[in-house]
Amino acid sequence: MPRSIKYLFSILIAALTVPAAHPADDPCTKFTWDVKNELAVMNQSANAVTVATKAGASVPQLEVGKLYELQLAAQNKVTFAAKPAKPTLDDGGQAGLVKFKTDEAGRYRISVTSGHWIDVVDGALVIASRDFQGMRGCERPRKIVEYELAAARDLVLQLSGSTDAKITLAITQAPTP
Amino acid sequence: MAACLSSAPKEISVGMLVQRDLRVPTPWHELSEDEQRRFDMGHAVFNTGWSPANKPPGRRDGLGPIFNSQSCDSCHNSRRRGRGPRGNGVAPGNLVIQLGKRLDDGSVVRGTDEYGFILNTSSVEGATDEASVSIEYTYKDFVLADGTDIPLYTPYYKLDDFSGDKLPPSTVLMPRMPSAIFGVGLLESVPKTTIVTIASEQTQQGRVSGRVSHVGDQIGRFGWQATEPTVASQTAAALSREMGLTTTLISHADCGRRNRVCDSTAAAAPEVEPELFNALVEFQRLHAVPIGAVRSTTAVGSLIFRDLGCADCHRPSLKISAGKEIHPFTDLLLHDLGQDLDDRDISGRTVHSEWRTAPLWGLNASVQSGQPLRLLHDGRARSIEEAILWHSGTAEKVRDAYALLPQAERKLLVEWLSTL
Repeated sequence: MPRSIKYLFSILIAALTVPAAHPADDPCTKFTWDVKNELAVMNQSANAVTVATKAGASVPQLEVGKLYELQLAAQNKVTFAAKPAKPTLDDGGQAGLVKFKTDEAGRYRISVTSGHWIDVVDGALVIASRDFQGMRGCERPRKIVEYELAAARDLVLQLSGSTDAKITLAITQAPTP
Repeated sequence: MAACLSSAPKEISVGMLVQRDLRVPTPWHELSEDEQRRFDMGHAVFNTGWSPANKPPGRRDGLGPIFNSQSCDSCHNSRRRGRGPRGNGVAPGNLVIQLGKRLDDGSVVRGTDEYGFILNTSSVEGATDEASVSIEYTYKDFVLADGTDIPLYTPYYKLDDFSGDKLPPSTVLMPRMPSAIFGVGLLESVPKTTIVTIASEQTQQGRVSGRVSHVGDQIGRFGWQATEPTVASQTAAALSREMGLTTTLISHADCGRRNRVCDSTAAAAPEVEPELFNALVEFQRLHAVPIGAVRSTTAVGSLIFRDLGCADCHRPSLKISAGKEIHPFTDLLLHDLGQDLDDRDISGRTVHSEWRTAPLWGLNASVQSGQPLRLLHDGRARSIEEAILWHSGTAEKVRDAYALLPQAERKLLVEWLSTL
């Protein structure tokens, strides 16, 4: 083998074996759930949406599987569709309402880049979450909350509690357990 | 049978309101409109995530600069005990590592010069986390009399990424889970004389030996080792040490004497305004205990509980005033539960540790949460049965008696405990 080819070959081997920024070091890969879909959606470009401050026709509709950047409103200006399951002080809080609909029944996840409390409201009923996860050091998403949802319901998603005024959010279908 | 079942949960709430729907906290007695408003405000303070100083300025800023969590609720999940560690790896934020110094005589003084009372594993922008904590478990089987193997997991803690000096080997690591807040106001109302009398009775009877935790001229009742005498002092300590929030009771965050990180952010006024702090304390004091439904088939578990001797320490009832009893399943005393549960220093040496008998009321809330159970002070026990088998020291005979029970009776006992 000519020396130049040997040289190129050794560079190639070295490049393949140098441990550059290993994905395993990324805290967002440490979720114990399978969150491939959520992480992929979080890498999409986000659609800008301004939340509603009360329930009704003007509440913006979100779609499952898309990423949104939500502009929130002062919490003391928001009339919630139902009392948040974990009420917080209004002071400095940012809140708001959006809505979504699922095509089929099953498990869905809401991923956010903030510590906002999330309520999914069906009519006047707050749907209890199944579980949530967050991973220290992972900010995108900072937490993922999972729900069991019926099909074809008009659901209101209300955010409350945190002081972040602009957040990124996605609704995804959870992988089949 | 009815008399034997006097400790069954159906009867323990006589004269007091109990928590039925965990999502809506209930006070244990009727409140006036004004009291209810303060209770609701306390609930809101409990849930509120605090922000760093001036970001934005208001009633909810002042977090840190170093801390473990941003809200009470993020550790005391829905007022229940914390979720705790799930396995090997990075320790969750809701498991805090308290620090102490082992002295030459083997005793422990709480706190360290460099890092204060608690290792703060989070920080605001511009500050640095004090360290990172990870856990590795080993396990050994406990073999019951009928040959059943129950794995018991022992946690070992690894500290890295120190913001200052590495901790010396004599530093004692005291991992602690967040306790449930249910019924703490009722525990606070147990007269001092009742607790002292129980300790005397135990000494006379000789089966178990509990010690009163004296904190100055008060009795320690709260925390895994009964280090705090009141709901207010326990709350102020947690706000200061785990969230970096000052109050009317504690005017500094938990930085340690040699750690100057808090100096530049020291606030003149309490970061938690007195109105909010008082509402938070009242909310906890008034929070009722969730009571599970006892099925007739499992109620017999209460008899097994008593016959084994569990009730010697986990006392089914305590008098709080004339004609009024509560049923917390604790004696509020400190007990030696054996070397396996003792805290260890960084070099691995154990330090003699005594544990306040954990109140068992409200256990149903954790069982029914749908989350994996994590019991005992560090969440090492992954089931009620594992928690029982970790008991040793003063409870060794009771533990051994449990291990001799046939499977059907063990099941009845655990099912009944799950309803408390």
